[in-house]
Amino acid sequence: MKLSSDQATRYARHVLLDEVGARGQLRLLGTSVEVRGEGAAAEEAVRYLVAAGVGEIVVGADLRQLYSETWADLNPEVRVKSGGECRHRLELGPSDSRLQGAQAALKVLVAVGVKGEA
Amino acid sequence: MTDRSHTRALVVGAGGLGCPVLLGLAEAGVGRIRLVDDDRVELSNLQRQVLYGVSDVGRLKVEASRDRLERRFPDLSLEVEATRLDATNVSRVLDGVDVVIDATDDPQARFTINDQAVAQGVPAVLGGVIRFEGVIMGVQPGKGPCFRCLFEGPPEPGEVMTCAGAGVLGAMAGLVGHLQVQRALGLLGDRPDEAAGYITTVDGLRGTTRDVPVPAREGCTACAQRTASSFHFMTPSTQENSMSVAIKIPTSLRRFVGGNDQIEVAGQNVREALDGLEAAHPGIKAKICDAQGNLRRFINVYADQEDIRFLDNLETPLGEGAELQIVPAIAGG
Ligand SMILES: [Zn+2]
Repeated sequence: MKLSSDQATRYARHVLLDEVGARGQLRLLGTSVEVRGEGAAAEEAVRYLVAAGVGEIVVGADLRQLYSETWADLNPEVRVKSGGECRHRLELGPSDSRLQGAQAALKVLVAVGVKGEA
Repeated sequence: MTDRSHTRALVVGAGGLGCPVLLGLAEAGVGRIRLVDDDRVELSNLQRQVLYGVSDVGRLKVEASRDRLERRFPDLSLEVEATRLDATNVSRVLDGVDVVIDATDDPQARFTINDQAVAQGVPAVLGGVIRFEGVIMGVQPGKGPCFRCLFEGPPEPGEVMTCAGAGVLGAMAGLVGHLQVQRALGLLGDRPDEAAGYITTVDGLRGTTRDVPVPAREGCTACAQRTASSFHFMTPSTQENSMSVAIKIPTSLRRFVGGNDQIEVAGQNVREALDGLEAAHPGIKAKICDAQGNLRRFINVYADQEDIRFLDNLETPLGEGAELQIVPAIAGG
């Protein structure tokens, strides 16, 4: 597996990181994350996962209805679904902040992109 | 919820930090936001600049953010300007705001914002992110340390690490941007003291943040400007005799002046003093000024503790015994 030239451009800031590189980016593209929660924190986490190219994301139906267009524009190659099994799971409560959402997304990106989890 | 509908925030930069900062401020109910940025959206931005999409590629970031934010926050009054903030426009851009957030990836701009915010008494939140690291610092002008108390100046050209060169993990920008929002709301709130006086460092790999207290530095040129600004006066430049001026040479330039840290020259203004320096040590002026003879972007020159960019630049008059300090700009990103 190799990154396409479009992917190499889109994810250039990840590929530049020695700790991530093309291999880490390919792992991100091949993984799946379920984001539980309907509030701003969950929305924020999904934004960053979509931007980072996490291949498949499962979210609640409400969130998906509100933002699927935005996410598809941000990164058309990510599939956002409202059901299915995932390798990773984030839970964010309705009172959690966007800060916590970004933090939760960061954790997954580090686990998969840097530490080599599938 | 606190009513922030009349709060005016200035956001400088609509990139990796700007996106979460704008979303966070708007969601917190900040009613008026001024946004300044001259960049256009590129495909490589979309890995972390989550306010945009493929349909925005090629557009000005300020226009794309306006569209996105107006749709989502109809009550928000957003004023955008497709300009790059620099020493020539910073005082106008800062005019009338309650808080400024530095969301640029330009270390020089960070210092420009810091210095002018301190001078104009505008609370500021400085921030930077690169690789897996971030820093955030809240500044209360005239009370406690500023960003320049911590770092004397921006990096030298070539020393600057940027996201474009070193990479950045996407969600790091989100984390740092939202921490900046939190700090800004703190500065605007009832206990602003708790939001300033320290720098927060973020370690994304470990998932930790650390608050490190920063002492106010005696001799900080930005803070000095604050205390001096109320009775600012010019030295008359009418005398015929040349003034003796001491030029303080930074470490990085000392090899051009035989290793000295200070050179005495004659001159009635900054330009004459620099010409005197060049006459004594040929070749050094090219390190300070560009081919057109203007001050290089990453070099700051202070005449008796004041940035000459805020005075008359190279024409700033110098009195007898004046001290000229050359400060090459330090890192950020
Ligand atoms: Zn200071």
